[in-house]
Amino acid sequence: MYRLLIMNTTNRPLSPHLQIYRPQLTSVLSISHRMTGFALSLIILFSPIIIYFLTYSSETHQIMISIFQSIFIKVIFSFALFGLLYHLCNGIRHLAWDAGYGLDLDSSYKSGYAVLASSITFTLLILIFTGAL
Amino acid sequence: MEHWKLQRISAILMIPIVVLSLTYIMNITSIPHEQLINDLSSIFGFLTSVIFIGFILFHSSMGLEVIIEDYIHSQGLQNNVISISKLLHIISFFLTVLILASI
Repeated sequence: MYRLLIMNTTNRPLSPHLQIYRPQLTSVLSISHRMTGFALSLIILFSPIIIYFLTYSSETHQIMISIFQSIFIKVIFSFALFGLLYHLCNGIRHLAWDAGYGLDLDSSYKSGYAVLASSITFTLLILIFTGAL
Repeated sequence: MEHWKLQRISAILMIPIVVLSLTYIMNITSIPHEQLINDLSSIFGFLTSVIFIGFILFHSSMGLEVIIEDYIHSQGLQNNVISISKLLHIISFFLTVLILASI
């Protein structure tokens, strides 16, 4: 009986249980925020290597630029840019929630669609204006 | 300060940092090597890069910590993975400073 009163602190299930949760716009956007954040973390952790080769000599710089200009890297970079802008827009949405704004279901869906629309728009605008598209 | 507040403050800082960084990074292929060296070796360029990358790595480290806490259930492993993640972020920061300082 006494054992039941002790709070189970070591073996509790942890949230969120993605496998048993029906996908909805709000939950998909939420897990996407984490997935893009994780991917962006990996990119920034590898940034010293990129900076190193871009600055080491004009030869390594030239090699890096030609890598950046290959179609394969351009496609990957475009997705990374979308990930970054999505994480930025959705991050602002999260900050608004933390400040107590837009917490009701209707606003959550509206801001969710706004985040999707604005991150796609910004990605396309940047790619078009920099000549990548 | 508590983790939650620090993460939000770093998140707010990310807004101008991402916008300003992108205006430079999106033109990286059209910046000649010499100009890149000049930009990054100037006091302004060096300090901005180090501060921006420092804050980004800080935000990244805090975000990864929360993800690790939520998805790695074993407490011992969780602590170890968080320590490794923090160590990698610190190494990445010092490598960046070292590379930028040696230009």
